[in-house]
Amino acid sequence: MKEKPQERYGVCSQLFLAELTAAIFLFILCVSQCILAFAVSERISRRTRDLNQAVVMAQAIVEVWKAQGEEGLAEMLLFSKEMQEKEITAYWTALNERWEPVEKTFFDEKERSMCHMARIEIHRKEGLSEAVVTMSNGNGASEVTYQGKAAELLPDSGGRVVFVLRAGKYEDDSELEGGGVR
Amino acid sequence: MNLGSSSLILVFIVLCLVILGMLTLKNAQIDELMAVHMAAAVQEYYQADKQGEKFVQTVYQALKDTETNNILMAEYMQRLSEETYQNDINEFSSDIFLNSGQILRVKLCVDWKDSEVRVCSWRIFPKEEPEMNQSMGVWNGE
Repeated sequence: MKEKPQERYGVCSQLFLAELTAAIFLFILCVSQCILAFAVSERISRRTRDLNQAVVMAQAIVEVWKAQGEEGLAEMLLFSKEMQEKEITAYWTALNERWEPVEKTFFDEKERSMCHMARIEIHRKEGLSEAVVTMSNGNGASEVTYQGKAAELLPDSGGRVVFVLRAGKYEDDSELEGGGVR
Repeated sequence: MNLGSSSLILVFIVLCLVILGMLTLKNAQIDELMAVHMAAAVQEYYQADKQGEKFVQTVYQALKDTETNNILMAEYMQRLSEETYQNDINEFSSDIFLNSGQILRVKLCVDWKDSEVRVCSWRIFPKEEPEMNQSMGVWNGE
């Protein structure tokens, strides 16, 4: 006995509905994985951007220190003295989200809300000064800091260090009359 | 005709999304790798720069010692470092090797009369000159 056209039509529509449901389910599954990939890419890109800007800023800090000394750091990059011991002096400055130095009056004294921080520690020994520049995220930053081989984790940084740069500078004492290094 | 059309569209869309996602992820990873290499190169350069500053200190110290002890400066410099060499009586150079196949050459000029040390050159050179591929004939305009 032949199938009635209505029955055949009903079977076809059920198959179509089943296929559509499976297609939507698979589509949602794939889209969720793709969105995850995009989110991971965005996170990696943000960390890369942070690292690049931290590297450029650290270089600028070192070059200003080498050219103009500690006075240059205070004038040009808004550094302020953090501590001074016999042979060690430390300065720090606050940086905005674009890693540019800003006045510290924009942030509270406990550094809770600043985006980033730059710190330079200067060690003086027999005429040769060594500077250790540390670029780190502020306490309020929620992003996980990049910790690749270009970054070093300081003991008390809590995983906030982005980049560390070490540089040296010879500062002659000019004991010779009319002498020195130029 | 209706059966299978949604599957075809689904396959096409999923293929596009997957390729786009993978390309984005790969691009981000490559950018991160490049940033890491750049950061490492900057650190390495400043390490070499610090060695250069130590060389400046050495030459200056040698100048002071030469004045006080009358030791011939060239002999003093040769005893200190194998990478130090003297171009002429007033010029001292040092090559500092970087891991990336480059050399930081520091050249200092000494003014014996005024007891001054001047930095004449502070440059980065490639360790080996790159070999140019001359196999393909390039039109030179003639």
